[in-house]
Parts: sequence; C-alpha cells; structure tokens
Amino acid sequence: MREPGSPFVGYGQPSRFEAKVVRIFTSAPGTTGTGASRTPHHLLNGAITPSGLHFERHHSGIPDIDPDRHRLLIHGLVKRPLVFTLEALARYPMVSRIAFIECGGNSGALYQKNAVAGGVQALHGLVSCAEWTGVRLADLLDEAGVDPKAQWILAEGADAAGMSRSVPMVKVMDDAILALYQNGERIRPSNGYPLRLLLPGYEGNMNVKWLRRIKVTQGPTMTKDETSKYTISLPDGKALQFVFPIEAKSVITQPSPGLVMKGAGLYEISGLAWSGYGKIGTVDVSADGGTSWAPAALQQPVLAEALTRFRIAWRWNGGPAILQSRATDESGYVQPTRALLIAERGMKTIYHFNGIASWAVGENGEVTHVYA
Amino acid sequence: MRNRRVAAASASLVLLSSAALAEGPGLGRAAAPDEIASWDISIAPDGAGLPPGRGDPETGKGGLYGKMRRMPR
Repeated sequence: MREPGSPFVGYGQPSRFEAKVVRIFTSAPGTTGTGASRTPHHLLNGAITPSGLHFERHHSGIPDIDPDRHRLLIHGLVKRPLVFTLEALARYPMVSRIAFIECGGNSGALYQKNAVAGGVQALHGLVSCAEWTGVRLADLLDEAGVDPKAQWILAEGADAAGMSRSVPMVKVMDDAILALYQNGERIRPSNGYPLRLLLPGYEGNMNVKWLRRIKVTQGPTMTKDETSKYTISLPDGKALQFVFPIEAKSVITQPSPGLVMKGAGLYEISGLAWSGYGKIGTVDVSADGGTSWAPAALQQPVLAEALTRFRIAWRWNGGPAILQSRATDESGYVQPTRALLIAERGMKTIYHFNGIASWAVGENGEVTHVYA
Repeated sequence: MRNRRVAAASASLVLLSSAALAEGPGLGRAAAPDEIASWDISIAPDGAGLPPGRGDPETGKGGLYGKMRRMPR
C-alpha cells in the first residue's frame, strides 16, 4: 500500500471482501421475521460466534424495544412481586459465561429418509456460541422471596408472540442468567435486546429473548412451545416432553459442502463439538465412514456448555472419502450414529437430532451431505 | 462486621467482599395487584387466568378458528 488508508469509523465492520459470510434465513409466508436464520459455520473458525452471525429463531419478528421503557416483572408464588428497570438490573452483581445456544430443531433435516442436499449452515446452522454477561436470576428471586412450594417458573418474551417457556426452579437457581451483554456489548435485538434469559445447555427456545415477565409457579404452565411444539414425537404415538439439555453432538465445519478440496495433500479437518451436560471429553474423527477413528485435538479452553473447536490433520489421497466426527462428553455419553438415534426415536420428529453427520468427499474434491 | 471483609482503598472508597454484595442492592419496585393482572397473560393448565366466558371446540370451529388461516409457528 502506497496510499493512506481509510479513516476511522465509530463501529467497525468486516472487510468488504468478506461479504459472503452472512446468515441465510427463511421466513414463514405472510409473516414478518417468523422463522430462522443460520450461522455460516463453514466460513468461521474458533469457538465464539460473532454477534451479527449468531443464529436466530423468532416466533413473531424482532421487537424494537426502548430499554428505558422496558420492565421485568417477577410475580406468582413470591412474597414480594417486583418490577425491575434495566437501569436497576445493571446495578446487580454480574457474571459472565461462554455458552452455546442451539435450537431444538437444529439438524432436524437429518431425520428425513433421504439425505437433504445442504451444508453445515443449512443443516446445522441453528447453533452458536457467545459470551453472555448479566445478573443471576437466583439473586432477583431471592429478593422477591420464593414460596417453598414453587418448583417452576414461566419465562415470557415481549415479542408479539409472547413466546413463553416453563423452566424447572432447580435449573433457575443453579445457573440461569438474565443476560444484558453478548460478546461484551449489549445484546443484539435479534438475540433478545435488552434482556435475555440464558439457561446454559438447554434447548435454544427456552433461552427466552426480550424477557419481560417471570411467573413463579408450582408446576409447568404447558405453553404452546412445550406441548404442540418442542416435544419429540415417538414411533408409538407417545411424545417426549420437556427434553431440556442438548445431548452431546459434533459436526465437521471444514471441509464441508460448499468448500471444494483442491487436489490431494494435507488438509486440516476442523469442527465444533458441544454438550448440554457439561464439557466435551473427546472428539474422534473418521475419514472412512466410521470404520476407523482417530482422536482430534481439542482447542483449549474446553468449557462446559460451550462450543469446543476440534482439529486433526488429514492427508487426502485424492480418492473418495466419508468424513465423520463423534463427540463424547465428560459424562461418558457418546454421540450416536444416525441409525442408532432413529432406532430409538423414529423419524416423526424434528427435534434434538444429535446423530453423527457424514460428508462425502468426491474425487473431484466436491463435498456433499450423505448418510453413511 | 461478621465475616465481612472491608478494605479501605482510600478515605472515600470502600470495597466490600463479594459476600457483602450477596445480599443484593434491593432495587426491585413493589408490583401492584392491578399492574400484575394487566401483565399476566398466561393460562395455567387448570384454566386459571382465563377471562370470563364459555365455549367448546364446535363453536370455535365456526368462529375464531375459521378466521385463522395460519397459526404462528
């Protein structure tokens, strides 16, 4: 460069050469922002998702909330029902933690009979990871004085859908955070500005955005999104309800569909692993469709309920290959094969798919989604 | 000072241990019953919270249900 560069800007943006690194999204016909956007994991590295690329799932668009007018009500089975302003919440002791959020419907396409054409973004892009900072919900509930017979809360958002979920009190008192900040700055509107419930490891839908109300209750409220939705329909006609933590899971992000291998040689296979039951223990990688496995290196620090980056070197001989990853979490639970998962759950659901995913590498270097 | 460690960093600045902060600043404002009623839209599984009125699935089919072309997902 022999010319002076561009001037300062108040808020930095990615290089103009990175314009293809964007979320993809679909919105239900006739609605505003009712649908989901997906993180382009094939174009990212590391474990933290940039805030502007964090996946979204909205049930009635993104509300435009003035933080000075927003209020949080805590009521129900409490001694003292309380209203909090954002200014008040910001004066409570804060905690930070890095946590993934994964939509309960992520990877749901893999329940389908035939492998859907798509890459890591389209198929597995409803998971992201950020540092969240905020107030412990337990502190506020202590101030309100919880009735000993209260076993649950209802958390409700200020969006037009009034999206709400029931959460067991034991989880709330353990590690629930009312998050004000995401990756160091105030939470993006698309992720719940100005206040979001964070329940580390629990399915995304429960991490209620635009939080306006907490009702302390004896039992679950049985809202739409925990009865007709976000329940796992089993082959025998029964359904699993209240499946909260995300089971251990992993996916290879590089190579993956959309990225073309350019000739035989040394490549790094890299991907993401996570578990709602704690830390990732090991990730094994196969290049022959699961016949042989080798342990990948885990990028430190490995954090509980956070995305963990794994990497392993691979010398591609230029021939056909099938790449798979298999995560084991610290509880010893092993990510199942797709066949094993479907043998247990059937194919009538779209939720909590955590089976092993397979990418086929062709002799031409193209990578495609297959079942193997 | 029972268990409370207090460090005087200067004459005007007093730092409390995290144990001292655990009691919380107590900044919640008392919510009035009518305020709560206007805010509380959730219906319990036993029907508590429903507004006065009555109905059944057959009546609903011709009324409200007929107007709902698409339920929000």
